[in-house]
Amino acid sequence: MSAFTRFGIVRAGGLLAGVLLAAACATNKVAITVASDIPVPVTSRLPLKAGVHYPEAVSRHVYEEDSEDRPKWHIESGASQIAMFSQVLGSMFSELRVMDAMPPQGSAAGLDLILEPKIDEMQFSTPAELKTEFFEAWIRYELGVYKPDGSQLTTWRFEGYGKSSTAFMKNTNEGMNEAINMALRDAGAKMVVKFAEVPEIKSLAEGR
Amino acid sequence: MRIAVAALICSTAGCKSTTVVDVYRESASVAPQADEAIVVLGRRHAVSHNTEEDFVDCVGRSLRQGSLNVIPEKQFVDSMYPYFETSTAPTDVKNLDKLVQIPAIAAKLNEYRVRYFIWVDGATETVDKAGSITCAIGPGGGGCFGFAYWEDEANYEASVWDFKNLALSGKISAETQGTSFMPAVVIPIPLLARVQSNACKSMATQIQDFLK
Repeated sequence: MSAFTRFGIVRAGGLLAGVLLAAACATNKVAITVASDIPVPVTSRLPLKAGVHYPEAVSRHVYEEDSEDRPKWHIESGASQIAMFSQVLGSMFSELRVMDAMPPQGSAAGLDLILEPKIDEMQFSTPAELKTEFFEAWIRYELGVYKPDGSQLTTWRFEGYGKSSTAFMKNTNEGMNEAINMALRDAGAKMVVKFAEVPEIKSLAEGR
Repeated sequence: MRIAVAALICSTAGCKSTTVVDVYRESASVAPQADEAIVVLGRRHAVSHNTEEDFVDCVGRSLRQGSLNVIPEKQFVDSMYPYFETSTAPTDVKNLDKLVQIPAIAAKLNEYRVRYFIWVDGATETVDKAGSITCAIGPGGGGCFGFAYWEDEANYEASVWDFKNLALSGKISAETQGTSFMPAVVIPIPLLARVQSNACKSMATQIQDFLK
């Protein structure tokens, strides 16, 4: 069966399913552990040795909401966040050292900078909420950049946006997972393309 | 009986689709050589629509059947990460020149021997629907009764970029419309107008002609 025959049948099936199941099975519940898929970036490494500390707020990140429109939403993205940062940051620097904690002042010997990401905000929308055909996810990050002596060099803010269509009868969990994966992918892309242009980072790299 | 009624509706009322194709040639295109490749990519930056992966895949497969060397979209985008993501992909052929300044990207493009980028933008949407189908389930069984139809419209435009000359070769658009029906007498029978599929075939045929 060709993909398009399947697509047509799915569309027809969707119409029928709407008739049969609208009242019985409709649910807005979201319960997912995000599965991400971030490719290895093709990029030139900055001539800098970096350390990174992932706070628990990132490594165990859970988005929860329980309202009338969004009952029992539980989205675990911590592992995927770490996977994205590890994949991307690991390709951006000449050396990347993962740290269990922010090092005490002056103890980050051999490093040029220390990074600490933070998830500032997450927003989602479903097709039902915005009357569109898309699940959407939007994540805003803050990347704290510190000198080896512990003083703050800068804070860089960036965002990741992703959307996935409702085709092929995706359920809410699948649609949301795909949108979040796209948002993570987009956030990783922004880091690779734009972080090196941050004036403080540019200056640091040029000084090496 | 049910099938006969449905077939009658299909043959008399439509269940067909019509496609209008438009080709604009900016500059003379040269057929890619045997060792040169084409990559077909979907544009997904619009708020209102996403160019479907299936459509892009269909165009790519159709071109491959026509003996062109087509790199699958996901393979290409993943291997070029992060430079062909929705927010970072070049929106103008001139921007390719900036991309090849990145040594790793230049090496990948050289490895693939990409000659043409074909950017597809558009979507298939249901523009009208009517009718109703009622289903019921009881101890003795269940069934559906009613009639529904929907009209789909596919609008796609492909921009052909010549990577060797860093120039726009031309644009090809395909617009397909069709109406599908679903009569239900106990069992619903979908009679589908293959709108998206026909738009894909028409576009692929035109791209092949364009690159001859």
